[in-house]
Formats: sequence, C-alpha cells, structure tokens
Amino acid sequence: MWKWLHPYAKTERTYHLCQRLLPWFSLLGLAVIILATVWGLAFAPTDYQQSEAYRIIYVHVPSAVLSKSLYSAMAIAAFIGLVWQVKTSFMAMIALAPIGATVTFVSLITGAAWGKPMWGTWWEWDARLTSQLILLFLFLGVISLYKAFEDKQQAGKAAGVMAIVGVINLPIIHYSVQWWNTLHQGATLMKLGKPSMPPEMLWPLLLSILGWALVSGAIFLLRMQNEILQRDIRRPWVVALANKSLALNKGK
Amino acid sequence: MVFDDINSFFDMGGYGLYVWLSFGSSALCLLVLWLDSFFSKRRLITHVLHEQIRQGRIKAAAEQSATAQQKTHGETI
Repeated sequence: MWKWLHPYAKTERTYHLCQRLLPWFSLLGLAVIILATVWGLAFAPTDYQQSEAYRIIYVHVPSAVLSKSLYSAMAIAAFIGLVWQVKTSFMAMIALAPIGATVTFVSLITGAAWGKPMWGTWWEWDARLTSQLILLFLFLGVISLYKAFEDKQQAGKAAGVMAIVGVINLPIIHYSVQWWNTLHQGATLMKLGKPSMPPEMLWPLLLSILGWALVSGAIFLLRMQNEILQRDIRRPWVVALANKSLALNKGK
Repeated sequence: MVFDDINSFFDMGGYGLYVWLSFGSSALCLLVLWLDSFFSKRRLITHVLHEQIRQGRIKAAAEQSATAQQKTHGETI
C-alpha cells in the first residue's frame, strides 16, 4: 500500500517545494541579472583591444556556460529516471530541455553578433561553433522525441537515452578550442590557474553567470510545476489547488 | 560610468549594433521563455476548473435522466 501511495505524495510534495522556492529564485535572479547587466554595459572598463564590443561577453559567456550546465543537469535527470525509474526525474529532464535550447540559441546569436565585428563573419564552420550548434540540435531532439510518444513514461525513456548519448558532445565543446585550430578564443574562466581577466571585468561576468543561473532556475521551477500539473491533471489535489487559486483571484 | 553621455553609451564605440543586438536578443529569448512557462501554468489551472464544471454538468444530467426514468417507470407500473 505504501508503494502505491508513494508516487502520489511525491509529485504533490515536489510541486509545493517548487512553489516555495520560486519567489526566491525569481526575485534574486532578476535583481542579480539586472545588476550584472548594468555593471557590464556601463561601468566595466573598456577593453584596450576590442573597445566596447567586448561587452557582449556579459551575455555570451553566461548563456554558453548555462547551455552546458543545463545539458549536464538534463542528462543527470535522464540517468536517474532510467536507472531508478523515478518519474519526476523525467519531468525534470523535459522541464530543463527548452531552457537549455533557449540559452544555447542565445549563445549562438550573441556569438554571431560578436564574430561579425571581430572576425569579419557571422558564422564559421569551425569546431567550437559547430559543436555548440550540435548541442542545440540535441536539446531540440530530446524535446521532439519526448513529444512524439503518447505514453509519457515511454517518452521519458526514449528522450532520456538520447540525452545521455549526447553527453559525448560536452567535452568536445569544451576542448574544441584546444584540439583544433579555431577562430574562437581559448578559455578565460574554466581553466586551471587564475582567470586571465582583470577583477573589474571579472566581477560583473561572474555575477551575470549567477544571474542567468538563478533565472534559469526560476523558469525550471515553473516548468517543473507545469509538468506535474499536466501529469496529475485528474488528481484531487490538483483540482483542490485550482479551486484555491480561483478563490484567491476572486478575493483580489 | 565609463561613457561621457547617453549617446556614446548607445553608440558603444561604433559597435552599438552588435552589442545591442546581443543584449536585446538575450532579453527577448529569456522573456519569451518565461512568458510561455507562466501562461502554460495558468492555462493548466483554468483547464482543471473547466473540466470540473463539465464533470459537474455531466453528473447533474445523469441524475436528472435517472430520476426522470424512475418517474416514467413508476407511471407505467
């Protein structure tokens, strides 16, 4: 009987956990991302080589870092779902995928906008850029595979296998600037030793990464709730919840 | 602020197009994603409420037809 009750309690508890965390992530994320963006755009010193164009770093690097972290998180969720048959884990996986796809897309767009003035081209088929484009396709692949199945447990398994196989792309992206000749510059932050950047430029960059992470976290919490609601749409607790929110809206 | 006035801020040392394109597209993408997530949640909750009303209607109609049937049944007997 406990085994039967367990999953019911679990989704509901996860939903309420998301609800509790959501305002913190949203407000803190918004505050940090605005602070970091204003700092990066107007107060960080001008670069001696790239002048003001280098300021693109304050959106390009956070989105690129997040794209890889979100992919790792999604693959870990897929792994847990496949090995331990945890259904909320597949929900986390599919809640993360659109966020990952969006930040990967942003990293490609901002990279193109940075490449045009600095390299003289919007796009080049070199290792770093191509592997990042593959990352976008992997995210989109996971989403479409999940949507292709009517049975969501089956969908989670199929998309989960794809997410795990795609992990091979992560070290390729990371080391692409060392393994191949490329236009893209080498690592500034994610390397051994001190980051090669003065602190006045580094601080807003670290803050913007934190801001992007918190905002992604907030969006993840929302999407996780949506997945739970969708899966449990006929359960009494969801109906009670909807009525409660209706009463709250009327009270306003 | 490292810029002298608002115009030089928007100009970004001649790189204005690229810098603002980057920041603009980032903001737009994140905003669209957030709006989609936020409104899906609302849509789901409204769907639950509508479904509840529909179920109530089905139940009421079933009860009504059941009592009506009982009546006609009673009259024939």
